[in-house]
This record gives sequence, structure tokens and C-alpha cells, in this order.
Amino acid sequence: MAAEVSKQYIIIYLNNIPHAIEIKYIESIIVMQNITRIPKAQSYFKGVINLRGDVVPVMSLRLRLKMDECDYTNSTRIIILKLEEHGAPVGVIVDAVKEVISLDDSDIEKLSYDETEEKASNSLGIGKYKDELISILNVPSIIGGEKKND
Amino acid sequence: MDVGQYLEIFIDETKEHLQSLNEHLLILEKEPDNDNTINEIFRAAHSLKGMAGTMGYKLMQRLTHDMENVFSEVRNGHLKVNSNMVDVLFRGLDALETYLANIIESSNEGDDDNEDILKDLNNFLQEGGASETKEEATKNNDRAPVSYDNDKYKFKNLKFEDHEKRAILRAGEMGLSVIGLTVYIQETCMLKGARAFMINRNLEEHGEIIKLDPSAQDIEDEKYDFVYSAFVITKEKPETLISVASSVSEVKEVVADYITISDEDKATLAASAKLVKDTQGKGTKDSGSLKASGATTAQKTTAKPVVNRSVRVDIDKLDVLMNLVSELIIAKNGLVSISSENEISTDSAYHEQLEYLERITTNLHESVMKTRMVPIESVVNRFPRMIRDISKKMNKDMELYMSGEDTELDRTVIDEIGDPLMHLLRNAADHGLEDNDVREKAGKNPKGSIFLDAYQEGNNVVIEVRDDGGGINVENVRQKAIDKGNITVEQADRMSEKDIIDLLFRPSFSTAEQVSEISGRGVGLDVVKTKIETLGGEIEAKTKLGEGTNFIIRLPLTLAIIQALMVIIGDEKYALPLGSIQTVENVKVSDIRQVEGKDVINLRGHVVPIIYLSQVLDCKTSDEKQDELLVAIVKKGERLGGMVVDALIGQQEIVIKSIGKYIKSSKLISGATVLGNGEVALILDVNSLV
Repeated sequence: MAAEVSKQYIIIYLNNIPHAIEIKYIESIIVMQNITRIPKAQSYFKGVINLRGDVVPVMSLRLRLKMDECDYTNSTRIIILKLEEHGAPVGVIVDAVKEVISLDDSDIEKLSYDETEEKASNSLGIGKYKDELISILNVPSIIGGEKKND
Repeated sequence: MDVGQYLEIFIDETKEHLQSLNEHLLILEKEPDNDNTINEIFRAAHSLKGMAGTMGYKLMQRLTHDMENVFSEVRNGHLKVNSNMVDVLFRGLDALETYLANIIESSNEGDDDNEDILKDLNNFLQEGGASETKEEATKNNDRAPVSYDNDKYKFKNLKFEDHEKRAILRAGEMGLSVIGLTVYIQETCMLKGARAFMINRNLEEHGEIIKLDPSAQDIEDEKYDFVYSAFVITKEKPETLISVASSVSEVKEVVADYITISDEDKATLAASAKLVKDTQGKGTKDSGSLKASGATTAQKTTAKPVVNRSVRVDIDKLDVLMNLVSELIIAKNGLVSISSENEISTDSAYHEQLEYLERITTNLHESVMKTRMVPIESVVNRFPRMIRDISKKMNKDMELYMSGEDTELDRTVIDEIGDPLMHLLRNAADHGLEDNDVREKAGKNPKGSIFLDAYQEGNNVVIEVRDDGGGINVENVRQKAIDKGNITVEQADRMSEKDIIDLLFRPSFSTAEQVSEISGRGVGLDVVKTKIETLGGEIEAKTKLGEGTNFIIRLPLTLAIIQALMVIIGDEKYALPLGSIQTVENVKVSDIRQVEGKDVINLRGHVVPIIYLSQVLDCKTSDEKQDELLVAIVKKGERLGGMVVDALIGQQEIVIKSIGKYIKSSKLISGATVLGNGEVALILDVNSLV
């Protein structure tokens, strides 16, 4: 691996804390929509929305990361994520979307060097951007992660 | 041009021929004297050999050649069919299938020469006296050209251009002869261009084609009428060329003869001055004969369309079409909901158009569905062979009877249903049917029967796998379930016979006392059940001790678009598939009785348990006490269930969308649909509650 690999991230806010999502997973960002509740689903799944004729499940990222829920505001957004190019889309609800940044791999401090532990964790590491420390979200684990634990 | 582009056709046709051989061999084993069958087998084997040869698959050709020899001996009555021989022939077919699998994978037949099968085949031949085969074959070849019929020898009516005449003369000087051929291709042939190409390629191995009529380009583009003529410069005899050309499959007949240039023509060639005039003269003659053949052409074309008027379409294209129809229906539903909300609803012309649109979309949906339907035959036709193999292996005499093979199902269902059915059949053959002597003692026909019946019932297709074996011993199952700890003794006492049988569909619950090669490895009926449920269907078992077991599979006709009853539960909208709803009843709260702590109603003599959907779905419920409940009665097999809903919206055609794999909801939610106003409503699989 080359030392200087730069990737683009989108900065989102949850509870006023910045988090970063790698841009390759992001399909689109939409404003809050009417959500149809799914009974008996995992608690963090809020339901499904109609995304241009397709039915897309939506989760609350706050609940998923074990934070308290809060009311939706004007800045609340749904980020549509896809793990693979032709995979099924999933929406995550975030408090706000701020900006796109570039981070070199060297700017990211890994939390763990253990492969299996890393896969299970919701965070890939801490990125240093300007003066802020940003948690880099582990998208595959967040979307599909809890399967093994059940 | 190379043979590569014919590979797909070759694979398809080989599959067909192999299937036909499999089927007919089974018949032959039972009716060794059936002339039609042996002829059919011979024909299929012969075509296979020809095709394999053309494609350059030598091992395959050799094996089919030897098999064909055996068939030929049987046909001539020199060999008697016996079970031993059929076994070897089946081994041959299996080997051919392996070759084909290799070809599909790598377009190479592999290098297994299957010496043992060839040897066994040749042993049969030696017993029968193979020498006569060849004589017979040559006799057959001789027979064709005996009747000298000018109409058939179309090439004799064709005239040559000058340069062609010169080529013919030159050939004569070099000691080569020119042979004219007319090839008749079967009118059922799908790719006559490809056939002609194969024939010509074979001919070119023996000489040089100097003229084709129609032209080579037209033949390749299929612009000819199953008949064409060729002129070949060669040192071979016409008979050789006939046999070369007829070795290609789907060739009906080939006629050939020497061509000579008349003295008159020779003179014309020498006197080039007169040439123009002369050819003009011939031209008129030509057109005369052309007209004549044109007339026959016309006759033939009128007779043709009966045979085959189908197009092969990639399934992906149909999926795209299906998606577009789905979107159209959503858009139509959108129009309907706008019209009911706004003032335009008073405009009757608008409504008329809307209804018209509704009719069209429904018809369109049905037509697209139909194009995706495939007869179940393509799945079940391999089962007779499988049952025969099991019968041999287990030394248990049995017979498979199938009906309704032409019942049609959606392509996606067809692709998935094969394994579950195979599993059920193996179960029936292995555990279902008793050993022959046991059957005899029980006063039954020692030969066991397995039935596979498919038929349509309303909006469902039903497939039954039935055997006349010993049936399931319910007490054994009960005991086993208790032993395994699946249920307690008290539970067992309270369970009905049907509940006990349903236990069989639980994971890892195999009652086979012994694990055999055929079945009973713990991967059992639960896998079958899961598979069928993912297809939107259901499975049920009925059994009678000593008389047999019947597995009934019900599958929905369509997968993507259904008629649904839209209801309101709490403050949410849900869709209930109309197919599973029997009636909707108004039930007085005072009529509800309690049985073992469960609410039931007495509906025209049936006891129907009541299920409060709002509780099951954790909906917000209003505290108001109601005098009457709205209950949708659902039927699953024999059982009824009453679903309490708060209000009805109406019937609607809905498009089923998956809610994705990430949400782990209960089985109750079978999908979602987008309503006309853009809202998402969930589809409830009410069957899972009954």
C-alpha cells in the first residue's frame, strides 16, 4: 500500500459530534421523508421510504450508534448508502450534513490493528482534519453488522 | 465465419436430443418392441453424432457413433433390449452430458474417452453381429436417389454464368467431375442458415463449391426456402457427397448427380461474339423455370407458419419489461388517487379514460406475465430417469406417474422449484414406499407408485407429490419429537395429528431410521419448506398410515404484481393479498367466545380464531369500545383465521417490492408497495398467522 492514499469523506453531525462517511458508499443525500414503520424490526430501523419508486429501508444512525434520539429538524437528512455498486440501498438518518473533505490514510489514527475486531467495530479510526478529530464510520459494519451477533 | 457462433445452438440442441434420448430409453426399456421409440432414439442419436462431428468434438462423436450402432442393431431386430443394455446406454448418456457440461464451461469437450462404455457397447454389438449394420446403412443411402425425379433435382434447371461454365470445362480437363446437389432441409429447422453452412463446410472438405443457388449470402441470411442447390468440383462420386451432406442433422433429403456442359455451350463459349444474344435467350428460359419454382415456393410458405413461430428472448429483457409494467401501474394508481382527491373526479370523461387505462395496464400486465410463463415440463422431465436410477440402486420396484406437465409457472419459480420437488420425490422413493416384500404382505401391489401432479387452482398452481407407501406414523413422529426435546409430553398430548405432521417441517427433523445415500441426512423438509416460502408458496402434508403420503405445494401464479385488499390498522395502511382472503365479515363483539384463552367466533358452523392485527403489529389503538369488528377471513389449506382490521380502503392492484435484506422483520411482512400518492404500504402475509 502506498503511504499517501487520499480518500474523500462526507462530514455528518450526530449530537453535534462530527463523523465521516467515505464517499464511495454514498448514493445520494435527500431531505427527510415520510417513513412507513415496519413492525417487529430492529429498533434502530425507522421503517421504509419511497425513493423514486423503490422501497428503501431507513435506520436512525443515532440509535444505531447507541445515542439518544432527537426530533427531526430542517437540517435532518437521509443519506442513501450502497455497499456495492448494484447492492441494495439503505438510508441512514443524520442530524446534518456539512462538507466534503479529503483525508490521507496517514491522517487517520486506527483504533485497533486486529482485523476481526476492526470488522465488528462501528468506527474505522479517528481522522485528523484541521483541529478536529473525526470518527470515520465503518459503513459495512453499521449497515449489515449486527447480523452475526443475533 | 467459424463454428463458434453455432456453439449455443449446438448446446441447446444437444440438450434437447439428450433429454429425448433419456425419455425414449425409459420407454424402450418397458416396451422393447416399440418401433416408434427405437426410430426416435436412432434419429436423435444420429443427429447428435452429426452435430458433434461438425463441431469437431471427436470423443463425443465416437461415443454417439457406437451408441448409434447399438440402436441400429436393435432397430434391425438383431439385438434384444434388456435392462443391462439400457444401463450401459444410460451411462453413455451420462458421459455425453459430461462432455456437454465441459463444452458449456470451456467450449472444449475434455479428454475423458470413456473407453469402458465404448467397450461395453461393442460387446453388445459382437453378440448381435455388427457386420450387417453397415450394409443396411449403405442400402439406405442407395435408396434415396433411385427414383429419378426432375422436380427434385432442382439443380438441373439452373443455368450457369460463363465464368462458371469455363470453370466446369477446366475441371473436366483436369480429370475432376462436377456434381450438382439439391439439399432439402426439414421445414421445422430453426436455423436453416446455420444448417446450410454446416453442409457446405462438409462439402468443401471433399471439393470446391463453385456455385450456390440462392447465393451464399442469401443462404447465410436465411433468405431461402429450405431448399438450395450447390455445384461442387470434386473427384468423389455423387453418393459420397449425398452421405456427407445428409450427416448434418435436420436435413430431409439430398439429391445429386454429375453435371456436364452441353456441346452447344462449349460452342458458345468459343464464339464469344454471339455470347450476349445467347444468354439473353437463355435468360427468358430461366425466368420461366424460376416462375415455376416460385409457385412451389409460395405453396410452401403458406403451409409453413404452423410449425414454429417463436422467438427466443433473453430473460433479462423480460425482467426489464416487467419492471416497466410495474412502474406504469404505480403511475396509473397515482392518477387514480389524484382523481379521487381533487375536483376532476366530477368529470366523467376523465373517469372513462382512467378506467380505460386501468383495463389496458391490467391486460398488459397479464400479457407480460404470460410471456414469462414456462411449462413445468422443463423441470419434471428429468424425474422419471431419477426414479429409475433410485429404483435400481435400492432394488425397490417403483414407478413414477406424472400429470399436468404443461401447467405453466413464472420463469423465476421454475428455476427454483426443481430442487424441492426432487427432494420430495427422493423422500417418497426412499422412506415413503415400503420394500417390495413388505408391500406384498400388506396386500398391496408389490410395485410402488409415486405420483407427481400439477394443476392450476384459482390464482395458484398446485403441485402434489404423492406415494402409495406406508404413510407417516404419527405416533413415531410424536415420540421422536418428545425424545428430541422439540415438544414436551403435555404439548404432544394437546397437538392434533396435523400439528404433529407439521413438526416434520422443522429444521433437522428426519425420521428416517437409517441414513441412506438417497435421503435422510438431516437436511430435510425444512429446506423444502423454506424454499417454497421464499417463492411465496406454501406446503402441506397429508398422510394416512398404510395408504401413503401426500405433499401439496401451492405456488402463486405471479410474483411481482397482485390484487390486494387495502386496509387501515391503527393509523397505518396495509395491503392483504386478495388471493388469501375469503370474505370480510362484520362481527359483533358480543358474538366472540373464549376457547382456551383464545378469542374465536362461530362463522356459519366453522370455529374461526380471531387475530387482532393491531396487537400483532404493535399499532397504536384507539381506546374506543366498538360494538362491531371488521374481520377479514383468511383461508390457508383447511384452516381459517379471522384478521381484525379497523377499516377497509378497497381493492387495488399493487406492485410487490422487497424491503431489502437488512431489516429483519417478522415473516408477517412479505414486502412493501408504493401507493398512488407516493406513500409506502406494507404487505402482510396473513397466511403465516393462520
